[in-house]
Amino acid sequence: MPTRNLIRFATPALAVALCCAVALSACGGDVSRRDVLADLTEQVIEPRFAAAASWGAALNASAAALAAQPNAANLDEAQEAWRNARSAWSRTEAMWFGPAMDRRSESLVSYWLSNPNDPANRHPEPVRRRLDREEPIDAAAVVDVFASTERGLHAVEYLLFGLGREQTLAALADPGSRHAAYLLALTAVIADEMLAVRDAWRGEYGDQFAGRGERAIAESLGLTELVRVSVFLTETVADMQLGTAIGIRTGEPEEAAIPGGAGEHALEDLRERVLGMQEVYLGASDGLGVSDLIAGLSEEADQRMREAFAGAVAALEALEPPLKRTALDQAEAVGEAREAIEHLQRVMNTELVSLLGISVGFSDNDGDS
Amino acid sequence: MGTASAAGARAGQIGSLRGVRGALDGLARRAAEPVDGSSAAVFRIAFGIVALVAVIRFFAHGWIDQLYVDPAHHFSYVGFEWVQAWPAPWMHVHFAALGALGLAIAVGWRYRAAALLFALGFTYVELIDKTTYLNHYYFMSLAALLLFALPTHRAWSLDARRAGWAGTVPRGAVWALRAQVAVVYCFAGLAKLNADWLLEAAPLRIWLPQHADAPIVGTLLDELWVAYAFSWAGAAFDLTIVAWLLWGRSRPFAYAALIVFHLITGQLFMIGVFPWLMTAAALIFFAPDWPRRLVRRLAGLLPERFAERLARDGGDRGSGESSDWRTPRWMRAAVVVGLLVLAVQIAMPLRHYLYPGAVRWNEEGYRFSWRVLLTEKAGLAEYRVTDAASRRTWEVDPERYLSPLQAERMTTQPDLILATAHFIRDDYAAAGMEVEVRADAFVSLNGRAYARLIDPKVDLAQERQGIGAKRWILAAPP
Repeated sequence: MPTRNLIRFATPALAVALCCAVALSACGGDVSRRDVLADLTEQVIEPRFAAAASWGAALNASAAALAAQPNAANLDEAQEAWRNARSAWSRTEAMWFGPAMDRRSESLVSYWLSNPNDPANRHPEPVRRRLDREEPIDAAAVVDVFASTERGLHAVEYLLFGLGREQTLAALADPGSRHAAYLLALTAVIADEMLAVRDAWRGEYGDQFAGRGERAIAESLGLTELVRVSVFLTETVADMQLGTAIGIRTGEPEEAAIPGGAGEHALEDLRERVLGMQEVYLGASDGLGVSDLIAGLSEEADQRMREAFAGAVAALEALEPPLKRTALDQAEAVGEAREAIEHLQRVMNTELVSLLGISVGFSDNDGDS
Repeated sequence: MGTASAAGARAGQIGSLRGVRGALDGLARRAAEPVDGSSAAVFRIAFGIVALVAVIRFFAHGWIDQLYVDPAHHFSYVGFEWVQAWPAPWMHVHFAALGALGLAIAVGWRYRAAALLFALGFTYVELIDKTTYLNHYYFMSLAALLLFALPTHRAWSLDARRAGWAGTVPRGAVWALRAQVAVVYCFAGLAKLNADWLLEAAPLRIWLPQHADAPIVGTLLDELWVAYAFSWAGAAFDLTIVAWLLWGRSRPFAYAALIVFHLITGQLFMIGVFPWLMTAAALIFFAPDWPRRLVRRLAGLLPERFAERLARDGGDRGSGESSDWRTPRWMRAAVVVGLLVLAVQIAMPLRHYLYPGAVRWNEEGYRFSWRVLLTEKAGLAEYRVTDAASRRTWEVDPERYLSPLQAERMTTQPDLILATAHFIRDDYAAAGMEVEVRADAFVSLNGRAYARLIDPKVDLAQERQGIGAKRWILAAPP
């Protein structure tokens, strides 16, 4: 009898206590993962892809003006538009999941051959070969026929900077210039692609990621996407770009490993990549970021992340452009910058993923230890 | 005086030996008493089904290729380097055979052979690669070996039907199964008695918020007090559940709590068949005849002849049943062996005290210790290779040698970091180059600031694998 009475009273009491606890915690002021994803979508990711799309359109317009009137002023303007588009796109790299990944935007906008030990396909050889061929060049051909090494912002870089000012203007001024046709086709494709990614974020995918509507993606999945991309990006910057450049792979510097060419924008690209990751981490000035989740779990870890970002940005800013020359002449300084990025990578790869419970690999195995 | 005292000591020793022997005889007699074999049969059936499901999951997830066939290298256990994976099709055949053996165990067909082959076959799989170590797979190997040793096929099996056995087992068989389950819970509970678990609610404070999007209770899981409640409740559960299950009056409530516990952990964590395995295994704590009584109660719901057959057996009628275990000498030997096995199982989780440092950091003595869902570790490991001749140094990506899972697990486990260094050393040696290999390995334990795990100055190419303490593992951060 006493047991029955206990059960009779304990069961509803427990149920009421559970309901109260759920209600109280739902009313609490804690930062939720969903809120972070919503703020990042609205205040960081979508605006960054919108900025990239805007600069992509400006590049396309300035390329058209240059092709129509090849003169020094228009070339300067096109080169400046290229730098802006390049920076804006690099800033989005920490957000390359969802539409940018599904559409394989990188192959249209900014593919870089990761193996520099392939001289025939090393930038800008594929672009030069394409210019020398006779097939017509238009946007459709760029999308359907061209290899990834023949298109995107690196190809545009060669067309705007690679021949030097005089030769570039001369090449553009030729009647029926393939140089101009190539430039126009590439910038049109780039602008269209950037716009498409922006539209996806403004539309269905953005709604899903922000948790709006019925088809919201799981919070944990969204957070995993965000963090995974940053983890891989730090690894790319530290090892495949800075590291390889100063010789971590072979013991000898590999100049060709540094992405970029005559536009001398590589250092700026690296800085933009880190700034993009930092934005994802901190969020917009009046919004939430991953930082708010980490601070809730460990303020010390959040502080370490903030310091690691600040250290990485400062280390990159301390390097003198162009990176190709600095990597050869000041390998020690580049090594220090790499160490700063590696520190960021370690904090991210160990503490951040641990606190957020994210597996950066793609393992779906059971685990019980 | 000296002679008298020596004689007294000898007499004392003889008296003690007699006392031990008397206790053993008493234990052996009690262990030999026949009891209803239906609860042991349920253990066997449940184990066989879970084994079959585990094998099906290996096929369904593609883990046979991913874990055993595809990797270029495997992380072998010390002394078991000779255990290698079969070539591709045969590994699949091996798993298919394990599934068939699980089924044979469940239905009790050629039970002894099936249990032994399953134990050997499953343990072989587990010995191929340390990456795949899981506590519940260790439990499955031990349980399969135990099943081979115990006559759990005396009831509710095809073997019993063919032989006409009455369906009793020695009480010691039920004890052995209970002891095996008890070891898991007790050591899982003891492992939780650490400052991180009790005072910091780590790692649950990290893991639970990951489920904040779960319906209804999701918001609760984001609360720190819930992490503390789960930590303390989890430790209390593991430490005391065996006692509650052994006590008849608390047993039903304890088992209900056990079901809730495993349902929750099964929902929150990717632990495969573990919750089902333990939920089924813990039924062994109920009275040996509970399944038969249940069948009698549910007789109306089952086909008449089937229910009749299930309910009929169980009495000690000795209907053609072998009764080897009833001879005192045989049973005493069995009890001694059982106690020795138990002693080994108690010693295994405690062996980490032989190593300096914190076991959750250095993982020396971590495996085979029932440290279930105990730590959150994430790491990063890079290798620097130096050509001994030219002194040129470069970095090597360990993923050149490892599968993604191996690469991920390796970063936090020093013996795997060492093994990877040896893969790299041997690879260069095959190309005629003598190299030194050093590791930059960083680990965060339960959300702490990352720290170096391995001494970066030590040439791991020169270090040997073994069970001795590894001097090149650095101390855990405070």
